[in-house]
Parts: sequence; structure tokens; C-alpha cells
Amino acid sequence: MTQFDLNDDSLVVIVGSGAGGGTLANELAQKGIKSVVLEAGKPYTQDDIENDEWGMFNKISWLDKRISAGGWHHAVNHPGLPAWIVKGYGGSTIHWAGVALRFKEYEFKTRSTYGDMADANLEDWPLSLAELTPYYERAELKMGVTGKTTGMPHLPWNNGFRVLAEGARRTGRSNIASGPMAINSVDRDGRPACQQIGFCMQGCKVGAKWSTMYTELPRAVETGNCEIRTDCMVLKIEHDAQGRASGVLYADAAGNQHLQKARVVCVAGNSIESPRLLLNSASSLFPDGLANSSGQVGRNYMCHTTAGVYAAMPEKVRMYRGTSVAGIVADEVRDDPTRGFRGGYHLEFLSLGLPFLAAFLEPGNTGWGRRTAEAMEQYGNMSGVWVCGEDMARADNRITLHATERDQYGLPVPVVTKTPHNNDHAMTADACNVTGEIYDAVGAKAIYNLPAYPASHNMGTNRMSADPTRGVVNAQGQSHDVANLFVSDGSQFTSSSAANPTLTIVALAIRQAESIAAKMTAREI
Amino acid sequence: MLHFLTRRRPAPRAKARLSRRGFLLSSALASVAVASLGHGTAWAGPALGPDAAATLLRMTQDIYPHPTLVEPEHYQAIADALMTEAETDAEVKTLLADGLTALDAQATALHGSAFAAVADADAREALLRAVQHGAFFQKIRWATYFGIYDNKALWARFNYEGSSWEEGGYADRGFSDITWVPQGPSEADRLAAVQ
Ligand SMILES: Cc1cc2nc3c(=O)[nH]c(=O)nc-3n(C[C@H](O)[C@H](O)[C@H](O)COP(=O)(O)OP(=O)(O)OC[C@H]3O[C@@H](n4cnc5c(N)ncnc54)[C@H](O)[C@@H]3O)c2cc1C
Ligand code: SF4
Repeated sequence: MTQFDLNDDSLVVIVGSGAGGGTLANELAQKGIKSVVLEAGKPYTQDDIENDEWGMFNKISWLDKRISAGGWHHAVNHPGLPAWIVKGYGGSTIHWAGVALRFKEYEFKTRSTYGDMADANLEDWPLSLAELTPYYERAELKMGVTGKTTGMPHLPWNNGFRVLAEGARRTGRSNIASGPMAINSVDRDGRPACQQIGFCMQGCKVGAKWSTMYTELPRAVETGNCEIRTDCMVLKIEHDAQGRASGVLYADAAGNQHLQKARVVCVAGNSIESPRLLLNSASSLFPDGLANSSGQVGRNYMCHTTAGVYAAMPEKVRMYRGTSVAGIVADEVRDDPTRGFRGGYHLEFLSLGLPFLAAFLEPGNTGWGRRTAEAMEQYGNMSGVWVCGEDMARADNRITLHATERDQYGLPVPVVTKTPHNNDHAMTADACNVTGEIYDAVGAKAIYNLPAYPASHNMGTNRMSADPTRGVVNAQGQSHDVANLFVSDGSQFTSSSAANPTLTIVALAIRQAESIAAKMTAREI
Repeated sequence: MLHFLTRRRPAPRAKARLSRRGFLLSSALASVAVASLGHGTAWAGPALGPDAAATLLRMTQDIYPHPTLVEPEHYQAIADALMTEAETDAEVKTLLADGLTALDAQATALHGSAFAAVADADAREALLRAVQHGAFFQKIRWATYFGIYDNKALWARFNYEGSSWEEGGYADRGFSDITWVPQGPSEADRLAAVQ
């Protein structure tokens, strides 16, 4: 691997090696632009991947101190684990399930579509579906997403999804498919077809599922234009007297601090760490945090309106056999105010293994006793859904820095405050009812509704807006305040949509790489 | 907010609102029991008395009761591991000793016998619900959780098969083998759908 000098100030420095950072690094590298990726986590490989839920959770999760606050149930049930994301080479693309959905047109325009919703802080993206479509296509080709762009068929249907699909069909639904998934259904791009192992969310042992771990990152390194430093936690972004980003301060595995100089800095640490880093980079020139003249850094935290619904069927299902998200029912993805809420939701089949289902069936102190045990005895007959619905931006749902608590790096601990909007409550209730009807239609004997899991989709905390007073970055993810500072992950999302975020993160990173290259050539940055 | 709810058709969906207090779901949680699960020789050490051993065993059986699926020795192994931990860790010893003593005292006050001798399962559950938010109960609860649901030796009884990559996944091993719902689309259909 090429090694760059700490004093080399011609480099793009990328914070984080996940969906956003990993993609950006490879896109830049392919254009001949040199970068250093600083990744806080360890250098995992596919040999580290186990088919073991707690084993993998303990091995690769981000378990540095965090605090849940606000009115969501995590403040009570998961006080130290607001989000489930990865700290490691490849970021959360190790754990992700591979659902690769595009936004709908109205989902880019929530403020104009939904109006000035009370208690919300909606905003339109400075981007349209038409503008992003070519980048969605490139993202689908890059990641290997089943569907028309690649021509790869969707995956075969497993038992658990067939139960859901049949219920959906019997209740008059028709938008039922086993994709789009960023999982090979045929051998493609040097990676094999899915073997239906069933532990997608513990990492794909064979590499059928896209992850930056074994695609973007090694490909970026191969060009000689990219150096990836693992076990390197970025503590602060430094700036010069003119207020331009000049480098980043980071701690290596031994705790030694280094300053890596930079021409451009791109932040892709996922939506809790990215705003936290900007807030931690406050200075006399930027007293409220770097790039925060709008006051929106850390605000508008979104993580999808969600619930789990598990149905015990009269006969065997063995839902864990095969792809974890084996299919999607998309009939409810529409904005229909007569339902009593704005925006829509996907019903995504999701199998959990026995350990996770037992932990999340009823999270918190009370999830034990005969009713839990009886439910778990029906595990082999269960099919289940994860609801992925639009979550409304609220200014006070936000990441802040704790006044006194510090993590192992000496940095203030992030406090993740979220209180669901009433729209979220109405949508969750509808989604649970609809899913219940679907499973009833195939003869469910019992149905279990689960509250949200620790957030795996995190968005919105450095949002885009054409208006520098209402958002942190512009349509290229470039800071309104600091021209050579970019946000390259889901924190730039203006709205959450009903789509899982990663395809959009990757599409934006491809687009951003073009923009950075053009601006570097034009010497704008 | 929606919480756990169980229903049978055609009962309406009643929401169970449950109060709960903080428990940190973290790596600490995940490693609570797995590491310390020993194998089940009946405990006879000095840390806690024999009454404590009986109370502890009954507790594990009441926390995740699987009377027909899980044999007593698996619960015994969980209780033994906790006892062993108490022998080497003074804090755990105090936590368990105080908690078990208090539980037996409360059982005696309400039902006239130590916890393990209270015959009515509902009465025992009520005694445990009253202490469920405390560290004593949650220590035993999570040890039992890991001893039952994260115990590979027991997975097959719950119809869970665990790690599959060594066997080539389920591609040729029944990932779509049920016959009581229709088959999914054929490969040709799936291919046609994306053309
Ligand atoms: C279990 C699970 C299932 C999921 N399933 C899906 C799915 O099916 N579809 C979908 O679209 N999305 C899914 N997601 C979400 C998806 O993984 C994320 O949206 C995506 O990976 C986010 O990309 P990112 O670049 O923002 O952050 P990540 O991929 O999380 O990468 C961020 C990286 O930055 C590093 N980092 C953070 N701060 C610093 C710092 N200060 N210094 C150095 N490094 C730092 C972290 O260690 C991490 O490796 C899932 C997530 C999980 C956990
Ligand atoms: S089911 Fe397919 S994608 Fe998921 S882990 Fe297995 S091989 Fe990988």
C-alpha cells in the first residue's frame, strides 16, 4: 500500500471507510486523486466473519460510549446503545443487509409535498430524482444490485418471504419482490452468487453481498492512489487562518496523536460521529462547531420510523434459512394523507436468529417470563417484517456533546436525543396493523410487535439545503461555510424517505467525487 | 409507542404498556454469561448457602421457562456458573446473596415458604416482577438469556440451526422447502421481470 506523508497537503483526507467514505476513496482513486482514509476501527477481513449474532456484534460494533436521550424507547431500554453501527474497515457495510432502494421523487421534496408540518423541520433537497438517477444507476452497477440496471434477477424467494408474500397477495397487494438487493444472484464482478447462508447482517462470509471491505477499499488501494489507516480515530479537523480545512488530528492504535495535512477533508463517519466531529472541531473562528453557521450541525437526526412484526404460523417456516432480507412489499410507499400520516413505508421481510429475536422481542427489563418463553418456542414457525418508514426531521432530534463525560480518546461523549413525531406514531401503528392483516390472511396464530431496534439507519445531522441558513452542505455535500470540507455520508440527507439509505449514500459519493475532481482541477479547492 | 403484544385472532390489538427502567445493552451484556458458563456439577461451595442454590435454580427456570424443551441440567449449569462467579467476585457474591435472601424473605412473608417452594407459578412470577428492574434480577435474567438462547447446544430444540456457511449455506439445503404456501417465481420469471 502506498504511504503518504503527514505533511503532504495535496491529499484528500477521508474520515471513515464505510458506504460513503469507502466509495468516495475508490471513485477518487480511479480518477487519479490521492487520498488517505482514516478509519477508527480495526482491519477486519472475511476470515473474521462468523455466523454468530452476538459474536459479530461484540467483534465489530461501535461500542464507544454513547447516551440515548429523549422520548424514544432507547432512552429507557438501550441507554448506552442508541444505534447499531460498525467500527471497522468497511464500516456498517459489513453488517448491512443489502437492501438497495431508490428514493421516490416526492421524498426529495418533503417540505413542498407535506407542507409546514407542525413540530417538524422539513426541508427540500437541493436535488431531484432526475438529477440523481444516473448516479443511482452507477451505484447499482458498482454494487451489483439485482434489477433492471444490472439485468441480474432478484434472488429466489425463501420460506419466510413466501409466507409474507402470500399474505400480501391475499390482502390485495401486488408490489412484492425479492429485491432490489446489492447481493449477487449470479456470479458477478469477481464475487459469487448468494448461497442463502442467512447471516447477511453478521457479514457475508462469501462476499455475495456488496461491502466496501472487499470491493471499494482494496480497489482504491490497488491504484496506488489511496492509503487506508485503520485504528486511527480522527479527533478534530484543523483549519487555517482563512477558515479553510488544513488537516485532521487523529489518534493511532497506541494513542499517539498525529496531524495529517490535507487539501480537502471529507467526513463520512456515519450520522452520529460526523456531526460530533464537526462540533468537536469548534475554534475561535467557528465557536459553534466547524461548518455550523446555520446551527443545523447535529440537528434533524432521523433513523426511520420502524417496528418489527413477527408472526407465529401454524406450520414450519424456518425463516433464518436464506437471505436475511429476502423480499420487500412496497405497496405502502406512497403519500396518502387519508391514512392519517404523511409519507410511506416499506415492509421488509427480516429474519432474526434465535438470540436476537429473544433479546428484541421485548427489549428492556421486562422481556422475560412465560409469554416470552412461549413465543420463543414458536421460533421455527415464525416469519417477520422490519418496517422501514419515513421519519420526519425535527430540529431537536439531535446529536450534542455531553458536558462532562469523556470517551477513551478524551472526547466529549455524544448524546443522541430523539423523540418521534406524531406522524411516526401514526405510521408505526398503521404499519403494524397492515402487517398483522397480511399475516392473518395466511393464518397467523400469534403476532408480536417489537419496538424499534437500536438505529441501524442514521441520517440527517449535516443536512443539505440550497439555503445556507437551513442546511450545512450544498447539493454536492460541500460545506456552505468551509469550501474544502465535504460531508460524504448519510448525515447529508435532507429527508429520510422510506428507502434504506445506502444506495443513496453511494450515489451521492459517486456524484461528489466528480464534483471534488472538477473543483480541484479548477483550483476552486 | 408500540411494545410487545401477543394476540390470537380475532382479538383486537391491545397495546401492552409496560414501564421499564434502564438496562445497558452493550458488549458487557453480551459477555455476561457466555464466558462464565461452566458445566453443571451441583454447586456445593462456600459462597452462598444451599437455600440460595435452590432459589437461584428456580429463578432461572421461571425467567425463561421451557419445561418440555430444556432439561433441568441446563438451568442448573446457568445457576452453577453464577455461583462460581460469586465465589471469585465479591461484588457478585453480595449482589446475589442479598437478592436471594430478600427474595426468600418476601416469599416467606407472602406465601409462607422460601421462593423455590412456592407452588404457584403465577405467585413466583409476581415475586420476580416486583424486583425485575433491579441489578440482582437483571444479572440472573441476562445470564439465563445467554444460557438458553445463545447456547448452541440448545438451538436445535428451538428449530434454529446456527452457523451455516461451513455447509454451503441453505442454497441446496431447504431455504425454500415449505409446501403450505405457493412457490415463489421461477428463475425464468425473475429474469423476465428485470429485462
Ligand atoms: C445491521 C444493519 C443492517 C443494515 N441494513 C441495511 C440495508 O439493508 N440497506 C441499507 O441501505 N442500509 C442498511 N444499513 C445501514 C448502512 O449500513 C448504513 O446506512 C451505511 O453503511 C452508512 O454509511 P456511512 O458511510 O455513513 O457510515 P458507516 O458505513 O457506518 O461507516 C462509518 C465509518 O466511519 C468510522 N468513523 C466514525 N467516526 C470516525 C472518526 N472520528 N475517525 C475515524 N473513523 C471514524 C466508523 O468506524 C465506520 O467504520 C444497515 C445497517 C446495519 C447496522
Ligand atoms: S444469504 Fe447471501 S448475502 Fe446473505 S450472507 Fe448469505 S451468501 Fe451472503
